[in-house]
Amino acid sequence: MDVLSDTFTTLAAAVEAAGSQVGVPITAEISLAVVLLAVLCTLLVIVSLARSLRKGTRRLSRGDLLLIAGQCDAGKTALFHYLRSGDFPETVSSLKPNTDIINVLHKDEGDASSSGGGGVGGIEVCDYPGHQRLSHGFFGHLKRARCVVYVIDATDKAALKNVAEHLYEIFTHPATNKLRPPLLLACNKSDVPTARKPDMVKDDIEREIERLRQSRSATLEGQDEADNYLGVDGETFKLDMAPCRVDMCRMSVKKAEVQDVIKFLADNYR
Amino acid sequence: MIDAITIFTNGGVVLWSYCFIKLKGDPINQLIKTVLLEERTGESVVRLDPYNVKWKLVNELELVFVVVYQGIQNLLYIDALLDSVKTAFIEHIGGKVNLSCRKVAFEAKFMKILQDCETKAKEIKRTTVMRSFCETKKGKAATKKDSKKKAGGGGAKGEEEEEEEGDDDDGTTHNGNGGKGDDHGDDKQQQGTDGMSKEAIMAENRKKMMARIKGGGKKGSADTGKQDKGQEGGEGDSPQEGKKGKKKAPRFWSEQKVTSQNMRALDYSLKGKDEEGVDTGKPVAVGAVDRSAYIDDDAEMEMDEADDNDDPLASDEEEEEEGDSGTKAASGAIGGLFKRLTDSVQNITGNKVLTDEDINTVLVDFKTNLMAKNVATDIAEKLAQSVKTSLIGQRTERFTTVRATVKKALTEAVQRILTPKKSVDVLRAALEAKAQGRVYSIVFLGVNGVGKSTNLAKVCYYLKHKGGLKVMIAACDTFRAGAVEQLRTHARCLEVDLFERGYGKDAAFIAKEAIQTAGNEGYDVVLIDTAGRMQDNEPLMRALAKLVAVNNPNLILFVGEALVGNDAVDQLQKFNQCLVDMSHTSKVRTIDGILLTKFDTVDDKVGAALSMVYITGQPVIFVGTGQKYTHLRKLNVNTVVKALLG
Ligand SMILES: Nc1nc2c(ncn2[C@@H]2O[C@H](COP(=O)(O)OP(=O)(O)OP(=O)(O)O)[C@@H](O)[C@H]2O)c(=O)[nH]1
Ligand SMILES: [Mg+2]
Repeated sequence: MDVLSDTFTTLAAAVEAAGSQVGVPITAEISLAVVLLAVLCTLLVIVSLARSLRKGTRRLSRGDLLLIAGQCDAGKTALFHYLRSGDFPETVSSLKPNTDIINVLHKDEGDASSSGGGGVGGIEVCDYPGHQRLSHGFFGHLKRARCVVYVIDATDKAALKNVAEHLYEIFTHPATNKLRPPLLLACNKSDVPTARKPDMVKDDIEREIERLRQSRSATLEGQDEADNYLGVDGETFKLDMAPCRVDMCRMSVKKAEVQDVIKFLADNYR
Repeated sequence: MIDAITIFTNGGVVLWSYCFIKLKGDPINQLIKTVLLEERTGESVVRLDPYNVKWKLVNELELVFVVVYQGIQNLLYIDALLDSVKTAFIEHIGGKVNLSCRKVAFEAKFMKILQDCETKAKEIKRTTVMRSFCETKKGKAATKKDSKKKAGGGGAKGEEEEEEEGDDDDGTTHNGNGGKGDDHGDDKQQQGTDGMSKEAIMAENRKKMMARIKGGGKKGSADTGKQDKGQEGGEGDSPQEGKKGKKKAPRFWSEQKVTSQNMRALDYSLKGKDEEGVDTGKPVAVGAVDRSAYIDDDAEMEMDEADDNDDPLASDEEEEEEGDSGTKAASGAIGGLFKRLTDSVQNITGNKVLTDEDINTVLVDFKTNLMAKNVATDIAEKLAQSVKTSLIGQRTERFTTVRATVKKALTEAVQRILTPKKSVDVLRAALEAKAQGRVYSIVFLGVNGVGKSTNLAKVCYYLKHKGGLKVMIAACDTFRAGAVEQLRTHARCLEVDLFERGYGKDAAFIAKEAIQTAGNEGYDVVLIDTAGRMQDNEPLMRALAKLVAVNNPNLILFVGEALVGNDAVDQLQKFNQCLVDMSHTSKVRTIDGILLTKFDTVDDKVGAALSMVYITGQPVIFVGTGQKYTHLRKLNVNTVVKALLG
């Protein structure tokens, strides 16, 4: 505020000086009015500029990234490499994301369904590691996502709690609410006999998220309640209440059973 | 003998691995999740029961080399092995790594390297043994001989004797006479009865591998054959020796006087730091050289190499060293100016390969800054070290300075540390327990005067009013006068029930009674207040450990002041250590989370948050920001990161 008034007085003085040079007697009042007018004009310009800028960002649509998300050891890296080169390498937990431009749709049924000619090659795919310590960089990628394949280890019931918590964060994140990228919950490792069916996984996740809604709606002081809210008040949570479209499918990268994922991609990269 | 070796990319693809024996659990993933991703890479070896895991990062290629092994005595060569494997492997794959890289055949080269390293390790060990043997006093030597005689039998043969035998074998190996070595191996296998099965598996595996390599027929057949024979002979013996040395050692020591030093050397559960403390001392017993002794013996090793130039690995390494010093000298004298010029240009344009020196110069500033923000000195040091390890050899991005690169890495590291790796949602856990009909118990512990009771009251308010839970407070501070009254006031204000049994009683049993009562009377949550205690007060610390052991609470919350500086390290370490040491149950509990109090009083000096989280590896679950019940928040990681590095 001080700075403002300072510049104000100096400006006024300058106008006064200019006036006296030209020979027109300018009183303090007039010079003040001139300065005020100038300031007003600039303010107007700035405001309108800012508006148009904001409009620009509001129009911003989803990016083109295919984001492969999920907890540790779910099989994200396995899926990434399957999509990329059709093989199933031995993996360990990833320390950093794997990113590449991949021609997914050329491989399987993509050619037929997509626009005939060259198809939709060259999807940018990012396999983002599941370790919680790396989670701060996740939403940066989510903002650029056209769609998300969320890989779940269907053999690991204990991990579903973390899946639910992560999904809760995704669903309540501003980026999801603004961009609404379709999300496919791919229940991986269906080749293992103990793997849970997508329906069961869905029930488990919905139940866990419902529990989270209770605890999260009780926010601590200083935290915005609005951006923590998920679902419809008074109803138990179902995945179709999520701010983005959520589908489920079974998958086994090991057995190369990823048709549903490919179809999901074909739908989203038409 | 090592158990396994693995080479993988940062992206997570295994490029080569070999297991000599099937691993229990998954030490590699454990390493990644608990060490590499936790900014603990300043060290280079970690104990992941029952294994020791040693690793090497090659940042320029985004590769990680990991060796898994058990025991420490006979593994002097791990470091050298990792280095040689690294060099050879990078050459093998042509110095480039990309997403298409898959498993490669590296067995043959690896076996050669392993053999060389083992041979050399034996030589080093012999000299070590000799020296320490001379150093020992006569009387001591006498007792040792006695003990050996008493123990008798093959397994307890003098270690140095066995050493000599090993060398004999080597001699025969070099001569290409595998037969003799084989006999030795058989002899020993008969002697070592209990270690047999494992050794057999290992030997078997080796044979298989050698056979495969031979089948590949890459080398001249005569050469391979010779090597093969030697391997069978020498190898049948060498893992045996490793095993026996390990087996025998404790028996040997048990007849010596047990000194605290001995005990510490034997205690593998102590991590790197403690061991470093030990190895500065003299060797504890003959042959008891722990892994870092290898480094201590460097000078000797070089002497050996000078004598023995036909050792292929030795000459290799020498060449390498020469090469290194050569480049250094050149850059110092001739290219000095030019280098500095390109350096400064690259500093602006980016794409510069980071060296130790580059990083150090800027890292010092950041370190000082962190300490000024109240991060404990130790922690700032470790963090800086870790960031450095992750950066050396990397190229800076285009148009980023070294400083910016280091800052980015450091910021990410701090962010990673502070980001909880598990749910910090206490309310959810409590609701879940309620749904399952269990009482959820939280123990609050910490040093004196940090605000335990006040913040317990805040948590109580939160659980009661936001979660609609029925809460009971248990007054287990039976030590400080007025503690119970203070809680009573809070309980009255909060309109919750207080469970108290006055002063002077055993806190552990009051807590137990409280939890039982809560279960019977339909409470959902019990908050247990404990007496504040200094971390050096043994009796009180023991009482605390007992309280935890007896009650096995759902959450152990350490209450700490945001004002604390270097003492944070000591406090948390000692509290955790006391919980570990004094718990007599099989399931050891340690601190699960941190409640950081007086957070409103520290401005941007929020370093305590980082220190505490780093030491415990546990998240800050709440921060207290004032006197009112509502002054309780969750830690905003980004704010802290900004305050620390902004
Ligand atoms: N049985 C079975 N195992 C699988 C399948 N897909 C992946 N795996 C295994 O699951 C483990 C983890 O797979 P990754 O792809 O490395 O896991 P990730 O999701 O990338 O894990 P992070 O990198 O830690 O986040 C590996 O051992 C895979 O071999 C599958 O379809 N079936
Ligand atoms: Mg991965």
